[in-house]
Amino acid sequence: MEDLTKARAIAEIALLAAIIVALGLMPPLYVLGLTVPITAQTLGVMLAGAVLGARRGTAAVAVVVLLVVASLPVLSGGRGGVGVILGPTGGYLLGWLPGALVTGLLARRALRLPTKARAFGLVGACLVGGVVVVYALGIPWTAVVTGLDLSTTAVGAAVFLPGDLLKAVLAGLAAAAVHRQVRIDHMRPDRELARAR
Amino acid sequence: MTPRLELDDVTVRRDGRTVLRVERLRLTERRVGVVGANGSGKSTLLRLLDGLIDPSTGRVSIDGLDTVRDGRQVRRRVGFCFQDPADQIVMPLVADDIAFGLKNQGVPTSAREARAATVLDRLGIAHLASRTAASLSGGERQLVALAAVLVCEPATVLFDEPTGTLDLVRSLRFSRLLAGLDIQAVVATHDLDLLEDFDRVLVLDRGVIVADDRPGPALARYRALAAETQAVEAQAVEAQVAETPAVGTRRAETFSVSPR
Amino acid sequence: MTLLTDAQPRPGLLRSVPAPVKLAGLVVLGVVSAVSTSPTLLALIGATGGLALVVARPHWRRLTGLMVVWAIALVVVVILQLVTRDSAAAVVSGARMVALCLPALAVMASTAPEELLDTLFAATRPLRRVGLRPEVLALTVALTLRFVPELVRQIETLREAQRARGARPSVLPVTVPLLVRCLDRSRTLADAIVARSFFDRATPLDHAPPASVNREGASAHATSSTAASATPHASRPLVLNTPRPHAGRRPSEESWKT
Repeated sequence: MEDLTKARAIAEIALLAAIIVALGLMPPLYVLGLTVPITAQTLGVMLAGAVLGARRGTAAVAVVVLLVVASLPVLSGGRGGVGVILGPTGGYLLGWLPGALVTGLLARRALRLPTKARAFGLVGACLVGGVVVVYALGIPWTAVVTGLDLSTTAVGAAVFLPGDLLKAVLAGLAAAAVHRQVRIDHMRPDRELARAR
Repeated sequence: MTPRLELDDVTVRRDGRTVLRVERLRLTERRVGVVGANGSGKSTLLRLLDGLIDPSTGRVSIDGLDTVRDGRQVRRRVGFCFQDPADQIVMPLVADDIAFGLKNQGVPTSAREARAATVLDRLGIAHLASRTAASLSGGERQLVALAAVLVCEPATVLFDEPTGTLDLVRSLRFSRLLAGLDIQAVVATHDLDLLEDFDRVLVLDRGVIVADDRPGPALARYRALAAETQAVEAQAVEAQVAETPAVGTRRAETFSVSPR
Repeated sequence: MTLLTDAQPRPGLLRSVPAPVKLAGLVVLGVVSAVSTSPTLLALIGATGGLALVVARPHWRRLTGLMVVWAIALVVVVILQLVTRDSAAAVVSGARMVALCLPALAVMASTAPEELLDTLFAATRPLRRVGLRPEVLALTVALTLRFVPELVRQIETLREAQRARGARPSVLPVTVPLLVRCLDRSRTLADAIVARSFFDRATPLDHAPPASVNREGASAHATSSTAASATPHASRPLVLNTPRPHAGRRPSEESWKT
């Protein structure tokens, strides 16, 4: 049965990586009530961490990064290639890795909260992992590549902040809904797991 | 020789509930059918036979190989065709997917190619080899999934609702295909026609084998059981309707008057 | 839609350089460009990259998306530098971006995705120690590529379902069912991976002597073939061997043709 556990991990990682790619290839989606459509790829990154946890979530993102380096057109708008990483926004892409990791670590804690607080916890996990951590890597990277001041770069990045905050909230809510519907054993609090057995 | 599948004192528990209980079962026939309502334990039984589920108690073995202890050897002899063929095609390209199992078993490249070509020819799908898995139609997918299983030359193949997603023509084609295969087949299905000339049929009801016979009597028992269950359910619904007469009647009237 | 892009690189000088060398060179150039403030050096790197790119005769269609984004970024950055600092800073910034961009594009244009994946799989070999086997990574990548087109189709269906109910396709009603279905599917998929003997290959080829592979020689068919499994297939990537003929010298070609 150890084989089956490993196979589960492989399947989950691959499918989440495929979701991240597929969400990027799709035309943008609308946020409830708003007229501005958003690209859902970074949403997929936060979801990977919030749904699968730190290890598998980061692994799913790593698979996507690997495909990017291999020149496959897996990023939104069909972009891909080492050029993306060496570009001004490359830091955000690499930031997805620690971003998913932190999201996953916090999400695991959020799931231990009382049921009603879980959604808030998961939104928080996505905000910290998917926005704070990603920007923390993305902004300095842009500064290095462009030679601009860190402060100028940060101001420039602020343009994208509202959209990303919104995505983090949505990702947290989506993750909460998914955890309500599907049992993901390795993400469950120990006491619940014990009760099920 | 047909393999011998054996279950002794087997129970499978999930979340504290017993989902399957089999005291003693020996399967040595070439064609075994398994029927039963949704959730009656058909898939669980098939997965037990391939070692994909460990029995909570008891022992499952194939030609003496224990599915828990010797799971990997068991899976070399037993092939599994899942309900949705899309779930078992793991490679982006058909040719790679056919080669996947053989590669896992360490078959060298030249032998792999020859065996793949033979199987694809036999199933009449040689032209699909260079296609991507995502571009296949439902019927093509099923044949590709089957080819990928057969290319490993298993002695036994377990089929989980093989005709569930197929139209009538493709179901008949599958039936004919199955008849021509020189393997032991255990088929869980709702498609009773498929089982007509099988050697043996098991009827499962809520995790227990309630009939085990030749297709004729076994299927008759299954039909009786289904009719019985349905009658009980209908009574329950009637009882409910009786409690709330107004709503029930009005609905019935609306339906009967409606011109469509 | 398939992710295996049809555009194979055209033969040429840069095409014949092994992918690991190109990637390593790119990293070196990237670091130099990132730290250098000499416009001459940066311009030189950029010019070399540009020349290499033109000589590689790329499929421009594949690069236009990236180049447009970069061109816009370049213009914005140069203007910002002119406004906030001076023309010297603007020149350095512009030159640096060109120096980072063009060599990367040249490498992309002259290397097949399969070759790059091959290199990346090989680069992860040290991770074996922490339990990541190359064949596991290769399977994961293959599964991802296998399921992307199917998920794209699923998302389309979910969007249509929303439109049918008169709503614009929004985030939650698309992503939640998508994830739920994927997690359900991962169970069957895991069963299939095990049922198709994937883990047979992982262990015996790594640790056990070939004799143990032959244990079940009784199953007549497997005997002759398993004996040959002493050859290390395990280290070979198993995906993406595209059926089309490859142009140019392919140092790693053999491993893709398994």
